[in-house]
Amino acid sequence: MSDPINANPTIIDISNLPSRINNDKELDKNKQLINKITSLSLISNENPELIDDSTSEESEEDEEEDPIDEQEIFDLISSISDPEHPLTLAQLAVVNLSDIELKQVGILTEVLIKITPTITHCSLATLIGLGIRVRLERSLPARFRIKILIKEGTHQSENQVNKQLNDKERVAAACENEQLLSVISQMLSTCK
Amino acid sequence: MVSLLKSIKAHNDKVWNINSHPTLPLLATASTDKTSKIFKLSSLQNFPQLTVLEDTHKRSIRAIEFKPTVKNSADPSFVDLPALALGSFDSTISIWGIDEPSNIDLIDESEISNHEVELLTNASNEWNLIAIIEGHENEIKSVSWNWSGKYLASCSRDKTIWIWETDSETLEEFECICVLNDHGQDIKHVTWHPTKNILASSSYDDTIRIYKQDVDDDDHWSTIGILNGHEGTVWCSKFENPDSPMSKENRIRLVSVSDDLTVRIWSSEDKENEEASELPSSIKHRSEELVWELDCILPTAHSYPIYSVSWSDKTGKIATCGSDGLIVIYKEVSDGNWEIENMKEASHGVYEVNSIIWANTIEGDEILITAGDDGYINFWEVQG
Repeated sequence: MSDPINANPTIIDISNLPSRINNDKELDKNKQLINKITSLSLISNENPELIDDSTSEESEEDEEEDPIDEQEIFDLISSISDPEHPLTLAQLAVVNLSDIELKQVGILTEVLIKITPTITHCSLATLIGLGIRVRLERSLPARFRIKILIKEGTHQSENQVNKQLNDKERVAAACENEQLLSVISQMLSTCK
Repeated sequence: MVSLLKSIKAHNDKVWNINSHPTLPLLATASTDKTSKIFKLSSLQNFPQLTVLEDTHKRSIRAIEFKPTVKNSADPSFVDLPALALGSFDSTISIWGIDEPSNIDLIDESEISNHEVELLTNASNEWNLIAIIEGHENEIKSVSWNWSGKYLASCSRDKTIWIWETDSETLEEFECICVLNDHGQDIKHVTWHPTKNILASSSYDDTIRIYKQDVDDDDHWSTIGILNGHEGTVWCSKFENPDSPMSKENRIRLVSVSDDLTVRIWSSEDKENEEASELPSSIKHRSEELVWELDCILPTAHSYPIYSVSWSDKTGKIATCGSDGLIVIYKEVSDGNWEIENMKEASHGVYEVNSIIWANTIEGDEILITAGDDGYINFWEVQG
């Protein structure tokens, strides 16, 4: 790629990004400490068993309720790579947990994501939005209606980008463009 | 009441568009899977599939429309064969039709219509590719034939509308006679008036434009109206059929649906008759601009973008569908006064519904047909 559009973006450390795993760890700090100590002792098999139990219980619950929350949406898109930096969208604060909103509309679920481009004239905003949309369309059930908007006041041609990103037909046609699709695939290759 | 008659999984991907033949009981589909399928509109036969049109387009087929039936007054034995146009994201249009069934000549003239219908909608007819039309720079969004089958209009993301002229009986050649480039953005849809050479185009620029063929120059179309008002992409529009029960002479009406969640009806006084008699030919070479007014905004029902609208020529009812999966049927209770007569939620489950049409079955019933992102075609019976 030629000259980067934003050469010096602000970067967030990965360990400071919101995640369910981190939160759980924080809550259970004391337990962890105890676990660590006990694992050092002679009782050896207890620790892995405990972890196994808790994860299997969680996944059973998931199957019953299928609770997709803001954190899960964030997890799906946070690890998408920026098209010009070797960093993720979350590290660049393009996507933020607080800018994801879920709303139930009858049998449908609306997910509204506001993205913050790193600079106000970022020409890659549309591409980033498209990458997020493709990632979510591939991962979420059909009942989701995905709305992606540029966060107010963070981009020169906000309305133009918004309109394009939420036009079903334009998105479908763009996704049939092989060149574009390969760029998006590259952005999504860092997703877990 | 809106009740499901039949549901057919027609495609493995999105169905973008459906269309029924104006006189024959035929339904055709356009899908992301690059194929188009033709079904027979017979509820007694359970809507059988007649054929698949494939291996022609490299990308999604976005639009489909049957050519209207051509009547040849000079030759009463002339049989018009069904044909259709497909518009694709690969920027080309393909034209398809059947060969004349071999046994059609044997039929006595008086019997022709009943047998004709059976022969022309038979599964044994082979549908052949007649022509591929190139010209647009990128994705074609919509195609539409004028009432006589002589003109085909196509529109694209390249912001242009092309009008192609052909021989409506043989479909041998398609010559572009006019390019309209008045829209500032992507053009989503084009549709002709059912009996006049008037065309309406809906756009991503939030407007609708109306064009009319010039009086003394068949190869020139002039803008006779710009409809401003929608606050989002206009996805589709349809003219009222003059045969429709609520239509009035000298009035043209158009219904449009949009991303802004509204359904609007526009109307204009049709000055065609005066124009022809009063003005000297030297100054009437351009069609006169008509005054278009927003008649009304129909009661709100949809909560997500509205993608498609159909105006019944039989009952005058309007049906809409879109991203929310809701089917809404509007009835005009008195002139300009519309009410929601019927609604059907989740018509394709949680999927978006891209296209809706009123169509007649071979049994003579008017039904509603929808097509969705789930690849299904749903057939609905509507009771008022």
